[in-house]
Amino acid sequence: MTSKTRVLVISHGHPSFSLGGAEVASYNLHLGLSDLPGWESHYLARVAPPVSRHAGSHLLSLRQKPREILFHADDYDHVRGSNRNLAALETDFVRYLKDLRPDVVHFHHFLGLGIETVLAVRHALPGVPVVFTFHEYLAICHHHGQMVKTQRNALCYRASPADCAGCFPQMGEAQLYRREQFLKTFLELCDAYVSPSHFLIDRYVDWGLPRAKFRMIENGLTVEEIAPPRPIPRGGRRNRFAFFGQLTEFKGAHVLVEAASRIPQKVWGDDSALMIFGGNLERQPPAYQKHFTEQVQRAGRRVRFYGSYRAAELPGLMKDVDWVVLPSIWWENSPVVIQEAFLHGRPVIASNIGGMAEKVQHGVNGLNFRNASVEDLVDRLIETLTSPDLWDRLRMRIRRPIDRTECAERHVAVYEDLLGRSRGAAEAAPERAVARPS
Amino acid sequence: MKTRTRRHAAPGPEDGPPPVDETAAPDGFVEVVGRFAGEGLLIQGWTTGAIAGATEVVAETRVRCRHAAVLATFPRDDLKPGAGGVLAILPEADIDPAAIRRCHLKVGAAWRRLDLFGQRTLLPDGDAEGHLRHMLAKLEATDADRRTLRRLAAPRYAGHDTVSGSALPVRAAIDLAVRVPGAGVWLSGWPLDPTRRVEAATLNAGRWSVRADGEWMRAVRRDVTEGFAQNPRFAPLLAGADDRHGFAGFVPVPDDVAADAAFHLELAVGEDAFLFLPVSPVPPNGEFVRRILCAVDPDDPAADALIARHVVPPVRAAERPVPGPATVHDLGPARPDPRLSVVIPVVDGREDVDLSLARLAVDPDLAQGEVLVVAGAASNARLPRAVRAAAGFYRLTVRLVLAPRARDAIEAIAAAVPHVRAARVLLLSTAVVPPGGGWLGDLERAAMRPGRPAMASPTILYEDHSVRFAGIVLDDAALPVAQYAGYPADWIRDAEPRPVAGASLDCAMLPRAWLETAVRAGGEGFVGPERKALDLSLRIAAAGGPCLWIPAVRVVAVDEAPRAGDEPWRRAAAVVDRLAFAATWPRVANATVGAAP
Repeated sequence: MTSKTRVLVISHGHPSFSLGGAEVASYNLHLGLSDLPGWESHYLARVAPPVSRHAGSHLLSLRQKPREILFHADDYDHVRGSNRNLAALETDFVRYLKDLRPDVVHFHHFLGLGIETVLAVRHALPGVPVVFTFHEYLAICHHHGQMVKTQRNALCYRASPADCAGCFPQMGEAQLYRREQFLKTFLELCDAYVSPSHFLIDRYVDWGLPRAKFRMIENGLTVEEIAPPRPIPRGGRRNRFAFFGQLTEFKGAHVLVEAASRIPQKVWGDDSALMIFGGNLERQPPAYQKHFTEQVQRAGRRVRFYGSYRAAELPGLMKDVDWVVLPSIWWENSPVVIQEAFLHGRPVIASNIGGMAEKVQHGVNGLNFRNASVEDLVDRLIETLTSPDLWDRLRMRIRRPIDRTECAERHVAVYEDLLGRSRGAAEAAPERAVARPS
Repeated sequence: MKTRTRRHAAPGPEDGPPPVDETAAPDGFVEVVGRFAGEGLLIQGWTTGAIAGATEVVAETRVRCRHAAVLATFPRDDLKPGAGGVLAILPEADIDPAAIRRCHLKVGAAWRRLDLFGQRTLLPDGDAEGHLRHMLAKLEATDADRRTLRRLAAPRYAGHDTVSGSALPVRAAIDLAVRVPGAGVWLSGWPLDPTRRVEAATLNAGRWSVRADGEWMRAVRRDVTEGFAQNPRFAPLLAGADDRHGFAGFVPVPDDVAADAAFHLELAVGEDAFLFLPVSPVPPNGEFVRRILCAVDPDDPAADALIARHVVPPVRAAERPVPGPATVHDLGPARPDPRLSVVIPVVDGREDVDLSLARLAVDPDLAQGEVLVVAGAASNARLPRAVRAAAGFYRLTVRLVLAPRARDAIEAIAAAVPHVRAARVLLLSTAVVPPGGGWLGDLERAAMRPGRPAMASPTILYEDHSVRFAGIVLDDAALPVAQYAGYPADWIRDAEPRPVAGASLDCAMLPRAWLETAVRAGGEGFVGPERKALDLSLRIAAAGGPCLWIPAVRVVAVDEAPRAGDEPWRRAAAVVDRLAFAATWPRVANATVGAAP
């Protein structure tokens, strides 16, 4: 037995199988903690079909790195966020907890795992602090955790059983109320919450979780290589725009493609380009696939479609990019794309809502445009194409995002606090970070 | 559930009443004598001072036998004052009415002598019930005795179904009746009883009977409702009724009920009416266990109790491994005195075991050894030919053991044991891929330490380097668990050999004598192979053979069969095995040495 403080990071997915932002963030935290002297991190991630499990256990290795383990869970109630196979939690999950005996358990999601895992930890490891990081609004919002209305994707400002029943009339207030209470039953058992944005904290506080338990810690990046600015000839323009992300409707790539199409040719010129790095279009609703594909075809040579990419490819892709555009039509939380753009010194053009507005300050490190407004985005793109020194001015004010080690150190401060050996470094959540909508 | 077996009074002079004065006038006369179908005697006559209720009667033939009796009285206006009619039922008497010379009736502490009336009526066999029914209205008896009399007066089982043609709104059928040798009878079927007339259901076989419906499991049988929905007699009664017509349950039957005994179900409908349904149990077949597991709802809050009561006993009896016949074919080079025997049970449809044989053939530690390939019930018909070819090519001494009755690996191992020639045995599943590099020698040295032999298993990993087996240990509740199952192999990187509660029969080295002892002792019946294997491992440990886990020796085993689904019957099977295991190994902690570190 080592004398190191042992943390178990629990994620709803392993980046080897699911390359989502939360998965990457949780894994980076695991790596960051492992780098710190006196700390030892273990990583448990959920896997599901098409990965199959062994007959003898829901736990499996799948040849991951040491101190990493996978938990197979495939009986999940998406309404309640509940794992229907409680027996598997009681046996294999709890067995692992008891054998590992971590000093801190840090959840990064409950999706697929089931929110009851929090209670399983409480039962198996009484007295061990439990931390929960929120990556979006899934506990609050049944609409994929987006806080966007099911009708016309309008932004949602407030969740309540009555409001939510407007989105899900077939479920009704009673069921939605039960959903909320079920999730809160377990979330309230946690000792601390972590959020990568103040905006998300506000949303959960509005929902009913105590502000005092929240800490804002940005996700930490794993820095391999910094992409230098794209070389341009004297008098050349910073006119390469890039979209990085999944091609879901909520990510708003269609807004960006439409805006790029509408820019007058004399402004766009011959060498401007919009580069789309994103995948999973084939998994979207057919209507959206058709709409988006037609848009790209209409845009002609202005839009280049590169398909999906791996995280390790990002520095290489970023070398050819001047601006990163984040046109999401939902709130976002703390998009890794913004941090990565800032890491490589690329100003960001982002929607003026939620986590994007918090991270991208207009005229400081990027530009904001009115959410889902093609016209406003057209104006911002024209501004970038017609303001020769804008890129350099914004780039100079970009602050380097924290790396995974820095992120881990900030988490350690939270853990130390919970373990009663506080070094006083944990940053408490401010009273209210983002103005309440009028 | 109370089992009722009827007993006979043993005849003998000492059983009779005190000596009586043969010259004195009798206290009354016997006028009617008859015998009930099956068993029991009716004696009717008159005497003085008789009191209705339980008493004793001596029916005097060549000997004087004393019997328990139920006495009813009835008024007679043809007798002197103080005298009255009496009707005695001797429920357990088995006497020829024609052989009776006189009777003695106990009244209080005294005995009344009733001589045989000259014009007595000797009822023909089978008429006693009718006579009693005729008398019932005028008899005076306690309420309890009146119920007994009504029961005796009721029609007896005559070997055929009286439910189907009954005028009462009651129907019933037996879907499955299985006599599990040494255990009892499994019954499932349905009674349709919309007006709740059936008060009790009793299973009978000859003189033995038992109340069967006390705790039996109920089930929804919509098909029964629908089947009678157009029946004008039942349709009005079924409106609004639920569909829980089905029943299923296990009835323990004592061993003294003959194996070929005829059973019938007796439905009590009201105080003095009975319906009968023949029950013809069949022996359990291969589908029996699954069928009864399908009858269980594992999500029923009372599932554990119901399964323990109705399913565990027949499953344990039906699944108990029975060594079947085996034939042996010696293949490859002859080696009459091998140093090590490797037993490979083949209980699936694979056509060959070439990887296992090839790996063993190139392992120098198996030199001077033999391999027993045991072909179980489900083995492929082409397996023997492939094994024969491999034995020749690899120059391996192979004993092909054909065990067509072996249903699983444990039974295949049991079938192979008599044919194992070496004093050391390696049990090796076909799922295990034998590694190279002296693993066999390492395992053998661990298992055969001088003076401290053990049943030793290596670490078994899945192909993705998850732990499949790293010893069976006991959890906080003294229940066996596979430690570290599913963990990354790195977790046990520095582990040392340690005693455990159970080894893995997928790969284990042990002395042949221990295996022989454990197999000879027989095993308990389990549905799933995991508990069965653990049972055998624990039996070996309980017989004195400690189990060791050798972490440094690592082999890989793969899941070749698709993972079993989560159907309700499988969950029921898991409950059965859990309960059966708990019953078999109630204090497994005391029997073993392993415990979670």
